[in-house]
Amino acid sequence: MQKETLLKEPVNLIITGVGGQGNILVSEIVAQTGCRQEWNVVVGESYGLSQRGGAVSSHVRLFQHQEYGPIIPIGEADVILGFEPLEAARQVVDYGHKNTCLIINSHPVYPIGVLRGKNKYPSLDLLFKKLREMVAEVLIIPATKLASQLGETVVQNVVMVGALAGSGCLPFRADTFIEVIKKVVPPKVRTLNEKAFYLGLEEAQKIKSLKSL
Amino acid sequence: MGWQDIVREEPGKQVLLNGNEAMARGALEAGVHFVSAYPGSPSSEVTGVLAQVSKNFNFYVEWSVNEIVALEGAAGASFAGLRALCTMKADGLNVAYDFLTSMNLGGCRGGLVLVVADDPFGHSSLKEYDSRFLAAAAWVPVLEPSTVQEARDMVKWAFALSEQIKGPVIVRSVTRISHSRGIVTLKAMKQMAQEADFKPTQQFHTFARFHQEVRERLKQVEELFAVSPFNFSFGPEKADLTVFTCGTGWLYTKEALFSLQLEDQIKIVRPGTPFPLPKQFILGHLSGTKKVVFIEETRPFLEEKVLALYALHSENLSQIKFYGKATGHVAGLRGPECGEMNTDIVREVLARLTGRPYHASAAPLTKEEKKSLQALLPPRDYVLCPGCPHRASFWVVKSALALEGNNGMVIGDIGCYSMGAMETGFNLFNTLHCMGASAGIANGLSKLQSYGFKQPVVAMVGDSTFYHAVIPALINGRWNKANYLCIVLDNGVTAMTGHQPHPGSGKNAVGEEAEVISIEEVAKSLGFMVKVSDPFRYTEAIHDVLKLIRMPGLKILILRQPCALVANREQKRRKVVVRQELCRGDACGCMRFCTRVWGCPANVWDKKHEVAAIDPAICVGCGVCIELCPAGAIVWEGND
Amino acid sequence: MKVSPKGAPQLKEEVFEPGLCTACGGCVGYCPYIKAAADRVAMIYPCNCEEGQCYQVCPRTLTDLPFFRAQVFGERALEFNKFNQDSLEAVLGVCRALYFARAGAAAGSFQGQYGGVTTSLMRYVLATGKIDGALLVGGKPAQPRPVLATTIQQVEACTGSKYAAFPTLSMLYQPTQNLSSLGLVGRPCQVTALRKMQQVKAGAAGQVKLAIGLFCFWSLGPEFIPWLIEMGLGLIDKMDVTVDEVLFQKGEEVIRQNLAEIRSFIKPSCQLCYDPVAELADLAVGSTEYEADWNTLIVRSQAGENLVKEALQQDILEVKPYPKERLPLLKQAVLTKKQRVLQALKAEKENNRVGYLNLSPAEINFYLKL
Ligand SMILES: Cc1cc2nc3c(=O)[nH]c(=O)nc-3n(C[C@H](O)[C@H](O)[C@H](O)COP(=O)(O)OP(=O)(O)OC[C@H]3O[C@@H](n4cnc5c(N)ncnc54)[C@H](O)[C@@H]3O)c2cc1C
Ligand code: SF4
Ligand code: SF4
Repeated sequence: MQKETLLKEPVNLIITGVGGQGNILVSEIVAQTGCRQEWNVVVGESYGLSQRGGAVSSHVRLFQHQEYGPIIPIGEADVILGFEPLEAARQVVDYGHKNTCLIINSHPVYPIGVLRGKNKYPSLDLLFKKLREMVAEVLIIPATKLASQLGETVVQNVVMVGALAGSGCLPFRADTFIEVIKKVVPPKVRTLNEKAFYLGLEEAQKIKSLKSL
Repeated sequence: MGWQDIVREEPGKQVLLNGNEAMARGALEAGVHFVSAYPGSPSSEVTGVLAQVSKNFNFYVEWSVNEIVALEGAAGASFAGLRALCTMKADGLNVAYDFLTSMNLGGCRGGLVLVVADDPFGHSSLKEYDSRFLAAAAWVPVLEPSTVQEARDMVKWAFALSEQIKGPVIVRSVTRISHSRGIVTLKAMKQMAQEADFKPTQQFHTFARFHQEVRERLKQVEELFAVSPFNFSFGPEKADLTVFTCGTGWLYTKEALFSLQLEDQIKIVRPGTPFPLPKQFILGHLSGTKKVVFIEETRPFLEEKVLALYALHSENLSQIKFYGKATGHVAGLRGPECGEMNTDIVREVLARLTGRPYHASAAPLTKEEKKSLQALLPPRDYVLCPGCPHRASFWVVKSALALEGNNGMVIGDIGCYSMGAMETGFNLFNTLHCMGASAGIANGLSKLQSYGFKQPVVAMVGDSTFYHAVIPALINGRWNKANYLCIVLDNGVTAMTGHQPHPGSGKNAVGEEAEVISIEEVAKSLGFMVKVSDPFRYTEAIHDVLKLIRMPGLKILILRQPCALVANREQKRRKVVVRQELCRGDACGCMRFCTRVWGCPANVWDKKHEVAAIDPAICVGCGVCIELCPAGAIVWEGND
Repeated sequence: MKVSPKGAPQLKEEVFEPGLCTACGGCVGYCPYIKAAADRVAMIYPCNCEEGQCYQVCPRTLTDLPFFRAQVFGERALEFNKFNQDSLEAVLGVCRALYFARAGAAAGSFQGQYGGVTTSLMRYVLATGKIDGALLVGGKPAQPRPVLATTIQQVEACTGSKYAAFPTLSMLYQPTQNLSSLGLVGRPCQVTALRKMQQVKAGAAGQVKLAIGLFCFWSLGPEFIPWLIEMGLGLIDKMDVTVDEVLFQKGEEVIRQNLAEIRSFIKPSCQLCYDPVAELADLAVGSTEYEADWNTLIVRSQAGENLVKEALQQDILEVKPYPKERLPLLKQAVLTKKQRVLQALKAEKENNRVGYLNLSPAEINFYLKL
């Protein structure tokens, strides 16, 4: 396998969402894919009480020369892959910079304070507008909707992996992703996950090509 | 995932492992025979993954009822000449500590390694602290890895070291090692001789006179550490400014130096063996430097040791200024000695000391931009899972105590149900401390009648906690005529740490069928009045709580329902729906009970119609909210 | 009617916290925040509803008595409003007739608390289809339970007084399976709550066509039953109260104790009760404190009068005149109670308010200046 050169060192990727959205599986897929493309990888996960509906995030760092720690410094995330708009935006506050590429699943998961009527969930239009003003690229992927076309909303996370591949933000190859997905998901759901991946990939490519018109 | 990689026989192969998996691999490469642990984040996966693979290798793994029992078992194996591993979270070391300090005096035989995982910042713990201080107080040597690969290396070496010094060795991990993934180059796995023998003439005793021997042992360890490759330096041979760092600090410091372009001006000294301190190694690096910065994870352990060493040798050393946590110079957002280490903290202190401006390579966002975005974002608090039986139990106890009417106290304990101290648990708990504390505190409170304390007392403990630490407190309570209600929240597993089995689960660590040690049988055999109820039957459960509170003495109520995450896997869901025409919503007679108060994540608000709804993707179909909805609007699908 | 835009927070502050809840059940079961377990009622969570039904129906929140008398008795209420020394009604409330009464020959065989008037009448209205369900308190004195009786047998099974206050009105919020008219036997506070509920159309209150109020000078709080059980009296069949004694009966055996033994269990809310003889009921029934198997019966409403007439014709009921010489005793008992309560509740002269009560100036003067 030929080795691609990273655009910068290190490349910092944050995967974020809400407990139960399959964050760790995706950080595993992304990291393994990085390994297969012969980059060095380190991943730091924060999943404290993640099963209990809290925010979850994984820091994935790819590098070739020098070794890095598992936490991305403030303001240095190059790509943020968010399974939930609010959590994606929260990571932008801490880790985003002007050239950050944001890929967001547009489906909100309401925090308990919002459900209880104590807090307000921002309007998505306003939120996305604000994000677009702040960072270089914002790709909004209806990942949960796409996943529900496959009958399983849980694979929204793999749709998002597809979107990451299709976004072209990072020099990942789709076929490497597919190899890894085949390896890490149970045989029963392999086809489902492959389909989910391609749905996300195509969606991201579609959005990109519309933009470049 | 990880577990297939950790059993690979291919030396030289590079695999991606998390720190816990890497430490498990280290144990396999060392040919471990015996593994025991009580689960606790962030340590659980070391033993978890070894339990998964133990069949392939034919070594013994158990989940023990608590950490001291786990360590005692491991010591038994060590006494018989086997290699034994015992893993725990920082809090677990406290539980195991009595035995550790004793056993360390008599020493052991086969390699005995403790992996202790600290949780700086308390990602999944109620407290953050630094177990190196406890290790040092117990006179047990400590190794502290900086990377995932090194975690494997150190665990592996720790077995050999333990055998050489005939004493236990602690490998101190932290969340950012245990829960980080990195690339590990596999080495060969050893199959060690498996003959266990305990010669009749052999003795392992604890007597004060052995302190002298342990002191000698530490000297020997120090000599071994002096030549250990785990202690190294990086950067220029001579530098005015030197960073002494342990554990995760190593990579953060390196990154900070690179981004500040200070690699050729600052030296990094990285002792991997913070206790006993490799004095000659440290002294060598102290000489000739002018400023020393300490970067380490949670408390100033290395810092204090080095400062003491400097004080003893100052006449041979030049004037040095020290910067660390004890001095207050190295601090994150929560201040020095609190929270996690990271690159930003290191970079900030180095930039300040060198006057080197830091230019982020990327274009940063402005403060105003961040602030205005932040203002849009509501917080995301923890919630009990959809269908969680604890939510129902909390509501039952909340209701029962209100009805009882005498300001009943709820004494909480450790597990998922610690969320009884948060809004998702209706802020029910009056106290929350450590495993088993609830029953003990309740014992004390209930003995205060003669001082005018009349409030009823309810202790709430989990099933795993019951076996772990509650039984002695209950015996104490019965003996001393305590008067309270102990509620055992029995969801069938140790849910908090990842659904490990416990003595009531009917399974052991490796998935074999095991004797069920029934909570009610244990309690009955101790002479307690015991009742088992279903927290999902709200009205009945309230009556049971009320009835038991009124009865004299110490009573036990088991509220039993499987953990929603487990039940969900096993059962077919029934669908719950809202008959929206019946929903009272924001009107008197409800005020959005289900979404505003009950707080199951599946109870959502349909903004368009101003009525409640159920999110079918989240609902697990427990049906508890059906009984609670005052309007009869929540129903089983098909029953409408 | 004077309504105050208040809700749960005020109910908590004005009623629950000072211990003034009567356990009538009028606020229990409509919303998820106020619950009852046996004879206990509590607000278990603040709902923060600023204008709540719970506050409106509670018999211990502002109660406009003249308004409700007019609602229930129409013209008759106006007449009664003339308070003077000689008027019997000024003390006993609207009173179309006053008798000694007991179950008639055709009433069936059951053992009432005294004359069995209550059971006899409830049984009759149910048998004749005037109502198709009755809200009663069943079980033995130490195990009271709410009963929605739909058969004669169920009514008969509920005889006997249970001195624990029991929140039976909560049953009006449960789906009443196809029952269109209901009867209620309740303590005076419960009858007041019923009228307030009917006013705001709470639950099935509108379906209650017959309210029999029991005389009640006090009821007992939630600590009473645990005490009974502790005393080994958990299985008694009957309990009775005389002027200075309390009687516990199990089978043939009768245990007598000084009334002082149970005084401490009297609900604080009863000390502030202005209505010992169920003024807003259709019929009010009590003991005679004179002849053990007779009741005192006050006929109050038109509906009550019609029912009594019919019951007499059918031999369901038997009456005799109220003995002249007993009348002053009854009057004095009620009068003293009302005076004491009004004195305890502070009068606010300008707005005719005495504590939670709204009364006419005439009524206030009548009681406080006598
Ligand atoms: C708490 C309480 C206090 C009382 N205090 C007095 C008093 O001070 N002076 C006086 O003259 N009379 C008092 N009575 C009324 C008296 O005890 C008899 O209930 C009444 O005379 C009717 O007698 P009866 O023979 O018709 O009863 P029964 O024919 O035996 O019928 C009794 C009826 O009362 C109902 N009932 C029983 N307990 C309760 C309860 N706790 N709440 C509501 N309904 C209930 C039953 O369901 C049944 O329908 C009191 C009653 C109660 C419940
Ligand atoms: S609890 Fe029932 S009535 Fe209240 S908002 Fe929820 S569904 Fe509607
Ligand atoms: S049935 Fe009710 S309590 Fe259970 S998960 Fe669904 S919404 Fe939550």
